Amino acid sequence: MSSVVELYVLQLKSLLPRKQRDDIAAEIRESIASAVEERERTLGRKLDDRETSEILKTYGHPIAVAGRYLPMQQLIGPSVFPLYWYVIQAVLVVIAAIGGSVAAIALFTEPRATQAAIQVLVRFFWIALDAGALVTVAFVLLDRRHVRFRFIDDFDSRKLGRGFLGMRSAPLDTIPRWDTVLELAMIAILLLWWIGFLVFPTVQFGVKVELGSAMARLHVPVLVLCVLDLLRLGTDLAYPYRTLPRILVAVVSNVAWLALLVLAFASRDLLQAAPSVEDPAEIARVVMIAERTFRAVLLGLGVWTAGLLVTDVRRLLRHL
Amino acid sequence: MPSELIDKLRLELRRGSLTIAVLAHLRSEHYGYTLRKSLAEHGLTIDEGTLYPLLRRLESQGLLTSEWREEDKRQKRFYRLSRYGKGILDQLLAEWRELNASIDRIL
Repeated sequence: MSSVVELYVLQLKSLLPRKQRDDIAAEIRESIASAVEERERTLGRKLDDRETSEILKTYGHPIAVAGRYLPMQQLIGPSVFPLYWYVIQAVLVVIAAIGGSVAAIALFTEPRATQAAIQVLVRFFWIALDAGALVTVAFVLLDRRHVRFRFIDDFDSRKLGRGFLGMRSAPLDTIPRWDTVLELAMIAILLLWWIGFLVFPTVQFGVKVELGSAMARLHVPVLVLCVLDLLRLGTDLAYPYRTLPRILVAVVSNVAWLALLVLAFASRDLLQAAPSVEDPAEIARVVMIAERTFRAVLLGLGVWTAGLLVTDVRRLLRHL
Repeated sequence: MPSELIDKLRLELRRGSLTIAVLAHLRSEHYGYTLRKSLAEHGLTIDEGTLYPLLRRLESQGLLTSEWREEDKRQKRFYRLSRYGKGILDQLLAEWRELNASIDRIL
């Protein structure tokens, strides 16, 4: 046997599954020998290395040949993959929306805007990678354990959309997914800021400003509303259509937000200087400026929430 | 791009048909090289990289049996349809004929 063939088989052998290695290599070697023998019979002479290489080329590179003997394994099988694809897209879109929004805020508020925005984007890139890996590992485990999803297996179109948050009712129209993602990102940013995970610039003219006692009273209600809204918006993302009960839930949520905003707006001590500040006159001036800015933000949020509320009330009235 | 698409579709079309052709051909005993040649003579070309793993898969599924035997002073692996494989082939051929007839009616 030509040394070219021996070398080819040797390389192939090193790449084959251990248990079948000798058997497969022997079979391939025999097949090559038959092909070489037939060609030599046709030509009436021995083949040179170039001609032998041409025959080996028809078999393919050892890596490709060995690859065909490896077990066909899927990380996530076809029964779980569609759900996995949907979940990972939703997770990545929400993270991208939150990351993009925080980066935009950093761009407008941080002293070193570009650097801060890039830092935020890099941070969220790693968060997205981690989340993607976690979701993938979770679905790999589900697939390995042959977990079945009853809502997919026992699919019945008559039951489509029944269940949580008023989906039992007839769908009226669809909710644009980007609207949900935008709202989800805003609520997530608010929640992360509220619990102190995200920190935005709080130093105004050299004075550190923090939330006043009036806002401290709103801590729990805002937290609860954020969590409830995240649940509601998560449901909107999974089942993107409106029903009367779900519009009603959105109206109640927006009324609650509006009430909190009005309470905050009407309060006296929205902001206060951090205890480390020493000059009282300067403190008062800076707090006043910061407070006016904060009120403007609250006013903007109030108008936006009222807009959502009016839209949902009109939807309700149209369908009642 | 259209030729790539044709290649992909042709591959999908051939995948199941090749299994039937190999099983049917192995009603009589063959070793890999002669099987490939014989299939080619019948107009069904199949490269070595596809044929040998396919033979091994079919054997592991119990559809084929194989044995190493000496012929022309060389050890060769001979394949043959197993009893179980014959039953499966009959069912596949019935399916194939039904499918063929349906497609003919559509065309």
